[in-house]
Amino acid sequence: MKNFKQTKIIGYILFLLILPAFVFSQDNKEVIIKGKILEEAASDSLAGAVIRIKGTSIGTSSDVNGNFQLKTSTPIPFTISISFIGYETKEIEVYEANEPIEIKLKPSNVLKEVVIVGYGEQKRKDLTGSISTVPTELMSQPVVSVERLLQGSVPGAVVTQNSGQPGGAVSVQIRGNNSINAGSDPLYVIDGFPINNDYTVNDAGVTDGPKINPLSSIPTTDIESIVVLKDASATAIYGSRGANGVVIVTTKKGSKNKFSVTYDAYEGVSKVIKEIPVMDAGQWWQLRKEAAANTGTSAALVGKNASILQAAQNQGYSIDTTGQGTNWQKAAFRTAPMQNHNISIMSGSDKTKLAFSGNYFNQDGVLINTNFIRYAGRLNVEHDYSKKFRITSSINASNTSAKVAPSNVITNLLLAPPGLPIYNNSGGYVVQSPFEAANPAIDNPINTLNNEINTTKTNRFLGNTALEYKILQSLTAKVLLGADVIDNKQNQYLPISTAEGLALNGYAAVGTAFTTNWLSENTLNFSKVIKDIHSLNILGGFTAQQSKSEGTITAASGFPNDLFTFNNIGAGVTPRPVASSASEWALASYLARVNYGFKEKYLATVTFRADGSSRFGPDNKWGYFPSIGLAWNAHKESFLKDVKSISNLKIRASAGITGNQSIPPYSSLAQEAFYRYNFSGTTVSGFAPQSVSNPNLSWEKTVQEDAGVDLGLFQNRISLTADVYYKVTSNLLLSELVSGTSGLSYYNATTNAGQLSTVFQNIGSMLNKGYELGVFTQNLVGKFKWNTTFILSQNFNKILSLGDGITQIIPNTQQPSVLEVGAPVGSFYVYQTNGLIQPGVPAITPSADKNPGGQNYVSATNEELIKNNPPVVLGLTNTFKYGGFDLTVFLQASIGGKIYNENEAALELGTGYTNASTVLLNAYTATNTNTTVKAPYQDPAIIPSDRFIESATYGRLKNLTFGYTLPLKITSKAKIKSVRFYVSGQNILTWTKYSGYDPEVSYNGQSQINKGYDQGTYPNTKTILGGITLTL
Amino acid sequence: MKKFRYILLATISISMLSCKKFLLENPAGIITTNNYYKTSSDAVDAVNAVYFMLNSGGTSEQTPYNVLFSTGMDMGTDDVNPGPGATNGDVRSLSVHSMNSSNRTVFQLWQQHWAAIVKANVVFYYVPGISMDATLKSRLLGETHFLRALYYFNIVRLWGDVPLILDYDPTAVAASQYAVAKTASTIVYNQIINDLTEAAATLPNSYSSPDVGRATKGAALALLAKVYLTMASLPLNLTANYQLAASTALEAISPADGGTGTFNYALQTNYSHVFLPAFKNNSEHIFCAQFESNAQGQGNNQNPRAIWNGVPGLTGNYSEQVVFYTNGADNYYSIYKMYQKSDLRRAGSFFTKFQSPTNNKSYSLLIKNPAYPNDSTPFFSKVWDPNSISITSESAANVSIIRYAELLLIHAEAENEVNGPTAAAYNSINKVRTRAGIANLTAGLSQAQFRDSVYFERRLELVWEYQRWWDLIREKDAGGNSIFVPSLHTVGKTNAQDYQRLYPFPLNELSVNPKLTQNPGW
Repeated sequence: MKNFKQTKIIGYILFLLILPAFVFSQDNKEVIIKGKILEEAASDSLAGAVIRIKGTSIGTSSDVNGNFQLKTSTPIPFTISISFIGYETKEIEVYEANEPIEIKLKPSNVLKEVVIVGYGEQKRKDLTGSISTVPTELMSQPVVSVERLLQGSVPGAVVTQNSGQPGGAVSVQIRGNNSINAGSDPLYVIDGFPINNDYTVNDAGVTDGPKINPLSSIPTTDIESIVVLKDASATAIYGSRGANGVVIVTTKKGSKNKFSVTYDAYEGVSKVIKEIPVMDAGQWWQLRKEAAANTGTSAALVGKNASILQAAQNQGYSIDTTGQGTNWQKAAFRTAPMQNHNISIMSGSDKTKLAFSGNYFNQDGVLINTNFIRYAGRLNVEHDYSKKFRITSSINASNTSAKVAPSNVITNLLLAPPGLPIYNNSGGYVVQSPFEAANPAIDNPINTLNNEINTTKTNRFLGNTALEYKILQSLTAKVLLGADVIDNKQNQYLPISTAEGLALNGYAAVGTAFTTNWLSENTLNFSKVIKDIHSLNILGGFTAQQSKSEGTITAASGFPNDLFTFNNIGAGVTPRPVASSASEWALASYLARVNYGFKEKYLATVTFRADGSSRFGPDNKWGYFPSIGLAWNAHKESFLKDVKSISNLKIRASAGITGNQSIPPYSSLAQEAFYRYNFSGTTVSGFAPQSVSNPNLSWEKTVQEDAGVDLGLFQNRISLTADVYYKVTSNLLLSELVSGTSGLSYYNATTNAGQLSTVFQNIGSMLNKGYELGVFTQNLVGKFKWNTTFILSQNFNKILSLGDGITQIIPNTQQPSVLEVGAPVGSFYVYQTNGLIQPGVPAITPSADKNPGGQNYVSATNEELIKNNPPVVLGLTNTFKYGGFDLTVFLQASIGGKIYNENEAALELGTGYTNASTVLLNAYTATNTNTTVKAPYQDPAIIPSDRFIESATYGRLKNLTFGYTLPLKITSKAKIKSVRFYVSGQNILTWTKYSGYDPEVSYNGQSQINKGYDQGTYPNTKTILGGITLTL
Repeated sequence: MKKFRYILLATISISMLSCKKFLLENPAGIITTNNYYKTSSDAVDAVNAVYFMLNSGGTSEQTPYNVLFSTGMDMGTDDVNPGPGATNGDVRSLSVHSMNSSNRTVFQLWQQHWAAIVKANVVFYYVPGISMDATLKSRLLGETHFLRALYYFNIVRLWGDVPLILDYDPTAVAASQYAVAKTASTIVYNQIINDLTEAAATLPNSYSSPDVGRATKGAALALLAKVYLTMASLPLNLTANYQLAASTALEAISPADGGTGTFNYALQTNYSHVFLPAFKNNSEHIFCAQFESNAQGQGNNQNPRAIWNGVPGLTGNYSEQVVFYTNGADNYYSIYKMYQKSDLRRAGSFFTKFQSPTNNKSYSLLIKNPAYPNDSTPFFSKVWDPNSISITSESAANVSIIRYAELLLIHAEAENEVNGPTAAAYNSINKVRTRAGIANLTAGLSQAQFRDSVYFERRLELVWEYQRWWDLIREKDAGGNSIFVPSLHTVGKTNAQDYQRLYPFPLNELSVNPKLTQNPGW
């Protein structure tokens, strides 16, 4: 029987792949059921509703007028079920088959909707916590990874696409930034598996440039729903990983006795949003001469016979000093194609639901020779073995690869002198700018892009299987076992023909990072309604999760030629430092939750989790995370029952403690570092402690209080959710600065950021408070439908303490970002400009340029704090539907926030050594004194000043989609369930005053400390595409 | 059906197994301090780590004898300026003496010296307890005494009164446990003398392979002579130490040169052999920071900084510039212009042209100025490695910390201060001049004239060897006043003020160590 069923399912699939449609087989003793499906309120006919005889696979769908006809040999009486998306499913018992039946469907009430929460699901009306879901109309945006769907659609989420590298990093903060060192991104739970989203899991450490987002391995077309847990009542069940919020992603499952094949494809192009205006060759040469003159240096540097020009001639190319020269940005940017193909097959029998999908995604970057390619496959199975036993499994396998833009490319594109040609006279590349240069020198970025190999490849298997057993009607046991296996390989080759490789005679490196993360989850769930008054749901369980990572890096230089690239490292005569590493962490947890409801009026949720983490000191392994949430369904009270306009009014309050543990493993141990030295011409090894042990190291604790209201008016035509929250995070896992006399200045040498002497401690605290508003309205129902979703949120962040007596920490002394008590994370310390130096007035400047026309400052020694408050986030989505037409207009805005524009700071140096911003065309001269732009001068040090702090405010047309679904009467003739064509644009219009490529930028990826620092980041893009969705 | 129930039970019970063990950390790729310092090889490795700071902090980090003394100290002298490739604002402000206490290179110097001192204290904490060969143990501790003295000697000269930390506490976690007050510099100097005396008593005269390059008895004595000379100079001005400097120097100077040393030290005949990697650890080298060109991050990174970036195939970033006339008509004095015509040291210390490895043509940065028709810009050449042309940053050139020529000049200076310009003093300075190819020093100079001559000889002989700053803050004119401000004003560094002879304590350091007080003027 079982085998037969499987064969049948496979047969279905094969049959459907070959034929455009499938016709149900017919039997002899037939009855014919006729009827019409109508919408309850408007009495409009509903086309495409699915009518099915319960317990069988026999069914049909309603035509364009809502009529259906069902022939069957099933003996009367039987039950038919009528389902239609957006409406409540209705069941009708059929005793006779004479009269046509009229069936009215009720629009589904969102409150009855079931929401996936941690370790289970709940009806929306029973929720006590603050939980948001991504609206369905925004789920189909053409994005690479799931987090980008949260942008502008979930109140309280701040999403930043850090770079335009296809597949590149995205950072997400839910309700602010709670941590300085221990990560601020939310926990992602995919089909019940809390995944490790640390960017190191798919980064072997070889590829240079923007990191690839590990979540990009999961196609968004596979995703059924995205739920964001925000307050402590919702997140405390995730204990030590809940403090930054939890994003629960559920993939599409099949449905019982339903079969469909959907092919979804789009193709499009991306372009850079804008180019930064820089000088042409003639303008730049003029600037170079002025800078030399103002500095009083030798005219030889710029004269007709200058040795640099001669050197260029000797090398077989000439420098343009009068014309347009090279437009480096134009040479590097392109209109880049992208395509996505997705096929999904949903199938199901009485006992089994199946969902298969396959995805191919290929996006070229707007920078030449960069891309991202994904192949992914998924199988989701739900099988009811018996009434008591259920087996579910979801398995995702993917292969992603990316050609990554090396990190210095954008800087070089902007700064490369325009007088320099790309190619020399014999057609080869000009390798490097011969002019006095920034350090490092400016390499030909076109040569870098075209010839460097800089790739990363990741295979990811994410799968889990759960067994559910109903011990009693009200008591279910569940065991879930899962694994997340990530294998990353990275390749780099710097050819001899590039400046980067020339210095090393060719450099090849390969690296691997293998991570295995397994999970065992065991829960018991008791659920009972007592006397229709008390509803009780109790969850208890134990989970264990462990992750092991192994990494290697091998490199060599000194290659005879460029033929091997990275494929024969042994051919390099000079071995470079090799490395291998291993690390593991484990988490053991007990969890419990009690939901209690009294007459559906008064709701309470109490959760508790105990987490034991390997990362902490032996004395402090365990952390305890309780929470309580209360809610009052006020509309159920008698005094509101008569107020017809109020269909829903719920008042919520919650409080609880969550934690954060994302620090590197072994941080509580005293570690010995490896050092080298040389005796007798031979390199020897040495060891010395690089950290001290801290047996008390423990959790970051976030205490969060939340109050909220859910309001539904006019049959929920208007629904509104508003929340305010207040969070204090204490025991911050902070690298506390200690005196340099500790000798610990190399603690973090591998990240190249930890030159300060620090000890990892639980010290300091931070405040996040804010408000969130979400409004959903059905403005028009009926034939012309118009829905609006509006979200608004703002978070206020403030560092309360950084430890005893410490008022500020400068995390990276090369950048102006600062952590300061009383200021938000991501603030800056910069010099305050004060016009230009005027003749006869003493200059106040830390720079060497004290001439009239130089930049003048308020103080030559003291920098000013510039607070960088988190932005107000707005999202407005309007969806229109008329007949087969649909239109989605999604506007998104971020108001407030600041960026330090390092690109501009470099472009306004005006040394003439590198190219410069066209802003300098209006520079101060003896005749042009009425200006704010300083005179050119040969001082190549950037003075970080408020001149380069810019507003990050922007508004943008994030998505515009116009679709048309062919009428059923046409598609039904072709035996096709539905066909929709659409055109869609992402980031089509952006309104901002920011002078850089794009205000949505973060140089440092997931780190919040240096957020708002823009330097050489791969620019964001706008995309236009067209697609088709075909369902058979 | 039942089967499933058992599977369920089994999985649950397996999961409940010992949590305690499950959460224990057993790092596989890391050594923890708890499991270390047990064998003689551990002891050797612990001492090797104390040497580490002489060489490299990893490829991206500058350490004192690998670039940082240049960017964080020499740039402020009258010999060196930042070149066009030096884009670091901290370095540029240090160079023109407009820096403040948040200067990053100053902070790096501070931190890295302490990282080295603490590594020495770690040796004294763990190694005595290791059961191992007594001779080796005594030598290792002697080496550590030498290195700790060297690092403290640098720190006390740069900052004056500094904390004196001789113990190691592996349990200190909180910032307050690391807050230490300053100790008077005279007491710090006494500790340096103790360490060097201990080192001289326990270290061997020399090593054979594979240990060549470790600290020797001669190195301890030579450094001790320098310590005495420095104590006798400004700012401490404890002139009684001149006598000790002279007598200690003689203990290391070879009999052929009038000393009693048994270390066979001698000047190289050819000045440039002192710096070329092919001649490293020769008889003139008393103690050096050892560099290797083997791609393990052991190269001297200073080299490309002094190479012009316009030479095809040669990686240079031109971030170090010889203080040089720029317009031809200005009043700048350049070290490059001070050598006599016959002085071999100019050609041994500077390049005025580079040969391209790709096309073999010569490249130079001409000064097109009618006043100086044939001059081209000079570049420092003392860390040039002819075998590391393809990767200039992996120069195998050692950095000399103390060499025999300097020891002779120490003796000449100290002898002159104690007894006047005696024959012995003349003998020592003339050894150095003769090797340089210039005539003996004019006979019959006064004590002050002789002093100035030694100072000038030091400047020419030791240019770009990280010595000039320490001479600037130490040396005095005929009236006993510091030469610091007038010397710097001469080359146009007119922001220089006397208080800058001591460095500021880093701002960060003052905020985490409330017991530390800032040096005056900062």
